[in-house]
Parts: sequence; C-alpha cells; structure tokens
Amino acid sequence: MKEILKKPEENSGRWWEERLGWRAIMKFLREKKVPQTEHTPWLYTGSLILLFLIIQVITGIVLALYYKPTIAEAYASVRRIMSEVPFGWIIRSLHFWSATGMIATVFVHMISIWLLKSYRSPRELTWMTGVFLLVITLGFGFTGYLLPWDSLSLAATKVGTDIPRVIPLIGQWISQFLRGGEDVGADTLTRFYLFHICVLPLFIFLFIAVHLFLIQKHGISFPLKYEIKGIKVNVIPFWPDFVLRECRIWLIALGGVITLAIFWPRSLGQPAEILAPTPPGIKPEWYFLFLFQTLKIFPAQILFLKGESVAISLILLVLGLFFFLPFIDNKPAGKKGKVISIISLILIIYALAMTFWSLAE
Amino acid sequence: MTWVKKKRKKVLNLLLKALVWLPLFPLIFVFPQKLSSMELYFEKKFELNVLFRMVHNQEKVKLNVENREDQNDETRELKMVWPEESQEEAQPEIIFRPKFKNIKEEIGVYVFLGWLWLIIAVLLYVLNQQIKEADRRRHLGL
Repeated sequence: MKEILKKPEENSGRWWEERLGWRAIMKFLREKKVPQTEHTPWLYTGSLILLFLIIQVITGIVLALYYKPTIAEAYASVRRIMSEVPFGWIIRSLHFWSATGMIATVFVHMISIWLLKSYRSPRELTWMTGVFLLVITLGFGFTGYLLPWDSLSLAATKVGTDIPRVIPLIGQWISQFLRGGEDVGADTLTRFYLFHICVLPLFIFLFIAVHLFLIQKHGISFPLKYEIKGIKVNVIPFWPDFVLRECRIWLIALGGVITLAIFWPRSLGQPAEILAPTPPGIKPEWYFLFLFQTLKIFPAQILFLKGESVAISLILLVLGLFFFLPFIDNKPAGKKGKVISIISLILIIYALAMTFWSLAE
Repeated sequence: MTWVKKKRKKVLNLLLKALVWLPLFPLIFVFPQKLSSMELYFEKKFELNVLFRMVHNQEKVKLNVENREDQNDETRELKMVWPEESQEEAQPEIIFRPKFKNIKEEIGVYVFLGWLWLIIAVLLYVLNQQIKEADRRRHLGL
C-alpha cells in the first residue's frame, strides 16, 4: 500500500534504478576526481571532440537522406541540398564547420597530451587508441572531401590516392583498393561514401568506447611536474563540478559553429569531370597541408632513391614512432624524456611552419 | 662505469647539438634546386592535360604559325596559344554559393541566431551560478 501511495516520480526513479542502476553510475561520477591546475583547460578538448562528433552524426544523417553516391547524381544531389532542401545549405555548412572544429580539436587534444606526457604508464593504451582516433578522424576528412564530386575534390582525391603508390610492396595495392580500380571514378565515390558513413563510424565508435573505458579505468592523469615535485594537486568531482564547467565550453562551441555555418557557408565548385584536366595549384584541406608541403619540398631524387618514396617512408616512420611514443618515452622525468620533449616541440613547430608556408604560397 | 657515463654524456651532447641544427634543416630546400617530386608530378599532369585537350578537341588550340621572311618552312616557329577563355577556366572558380531564398528566410535565420546567443548567454549565467554553488558546497564538505 505504501508503495502505491508514493509520489509517481519516486516510483519512476525506482523503476529506472532497478533496470539501469544509475545511482551506482552517479556515485561513480561523483567520486571520480579531476585535477584542477593551470593545465585543466586542455581537459575540455576531449569532450569538445564528442560535441563536434554528435553534430557530425546529426547533420550527416540529414545530408544522407538527400545525397546520392553516384557520379551521375552526387553533384546534383549536393546542389539540391543547398538550393531546394529547406535550410539544407546551413546543414551542409554545419557539417563542414563541425568537421573542421573536430579535426582542429583532435589536434589540440593530441598535442596537449603529447606535451604534458599524459601517455605515461599506465596510460599507454589510452594514447594508442587516441592515435587510432586521430587517423580515423583524418580518414573522415579525406573521404568526405570527395563526396560533393566537384572539380577540386576530384583533383585532391586523385593526388591523395596516388601518394600511397610509392610505398614499397603494398603501395600499389592500397591505391587500387582506395580507388576501386586504376583511376578515380564511380567505384571510388561508392567506396569513399561507404567508408565515410559505415566503416569509419563503426571504428570511431569502437575506439571511442575503448578510449573512454580506459580513461575511466585509469582516471585523468595529473601533470608530470606535480608528480615529480610531490605537490598536492587540487581536485574537483567530475559530477557536477567538472561537467558544469565543460557545459560552458559546449555552449560557446555550439553557438560558434552555427554562426560560422550561417556567415561563412560552404560553397560548391564546378562539377567534376573524370577526364578533365587537373586544376593548377590545387591544395588539400588545411589539416593535410603540412604533409603536402613536406612532399613538395623533397627533391625528386635523393641519392639513388625517389624523393617521394623517402618522404612517405619518413612520414610513416614518424607516425610509427608517434604510435609507440609511451614505450619510447618510458622515463618521462629523466634526460631521455627531456630530449623527447624538445624533439616533440620541434616537430610541432615544423608542422605549423609547413602549414603556414603552404597557405602563404 | 665512469666510461659508460662519459659515453652517455657524449651521446646526449651529440643529440642536443643535432637538435640545435635540426630546425635549420628545411632551409636546404629553400635554395634553388632541381624540380621537386610534386612539381614533377604536376608537370606530368599538365602534359597529359594538353594531350587530352588536343585529342578530344574540347578546346580550340590555335597553332599559330609565324611566317617570317627570314625563316623557311623547316625553321618556321610553332607557337601554341590557348584561347583566352580557357586560361580563365584554369583557375577553379566557385560556381554555387549558397544564399537565402528570400528576405523572410534571411530575417528568420538572423532572428534565430540572435535568440540562440541570447539563450547561450542566459544558460552561461545559470551555469556560472551552479558552478559557484557546487564550489561552495564542496568547500563546506557537503
């Protein structure tokens, strides 16, 4: 009788509690501590990536309702989205700007983890899943760029899918696999669409799940200098203190992305023609510029090797070292750690310099 | 043991010197040299484009034969001239820029944007108050 006389919301709370056990989850979140130091703003980048991803998923679903992944209809369907679908151009621009924001935030997030050495033991796997997520995010950018099927996207994809050819043994195969044949065509568009809406989302959600699980398991790392000097770090509970602070960043980012989409909408180039000439002076999107410029400045021949092969091999080597960084930098507080910090800083400056150089050209 | 330490110091010194010189490494590429691989790539592409245009006759390529008095048939200079419009086409131009369908839509979107930022401002104020309250409760140990 007492159960029936209880307030309806109490009954409904109990109903959910019995099925989900959310009180235990809330208890865990309240007990989870987040360090509050001068480096705390970097921590907001992780959740900001998730916000951009949510925007990507929502706008992506809306765009997929109208988009047709065939070379005969792709361009026309994007044009239709922009001209006929109500607020279609805003949705497409939102998709573009949130993608840009997501990639930029992923870079900032990785750089902050890299420089603060948050990958140190026992968070090696968290770092490695993070590198996978970075590659997948760049994959999203690369595959999504071709979908409007305009002249620039076609030309950029031609160059982009041609680059792996110089990789010894598997290069030719990778290029053919991406293109679905010898050259960029109808099969490439279908494949890129499939990667963009099916394969890559599957992998990104899988790796995000593992990444978040590992973060929950090991907690958020404390800055290295506090650990070395044994300084007591001020901590705040994840719920509600940290989440409320994160919400402020989410709101500003959401407003910023919508404003950018309205005032600087994404336009569409000329329709792509497979046999048409490549437009001169084409450049990839800003996040690939440092790689593009690196390839550009390499001489055609280095001793008896092709310059392009050397450049690609070097880039792959750096990516490999980046992936295994927690194992290479196994003593972050020692001299080796300091040397690695300086090398990391040089690499970041190099990537920025190459990007600005390419933009200025 | 001392020998190992000295060796380590030497290696570290060498690494530090390398780090000082490494940033200057890209400078060697700035100086004039042979065409880079990417430039060669684009040059190859350009040649193919010319061939394509000639074969498919998409552009009218004028072969201007300059008949100069001092030249005979064999030494006649051949010049390939692209039509002016094709040179304009070389730069990829944006042909479809999204715009508002009508003034009603434009006003609607701007009103929405204003409303959005107003809501954000209010929510930020509420969040700040909530954060202050959460901090106060934490300091009190509640």
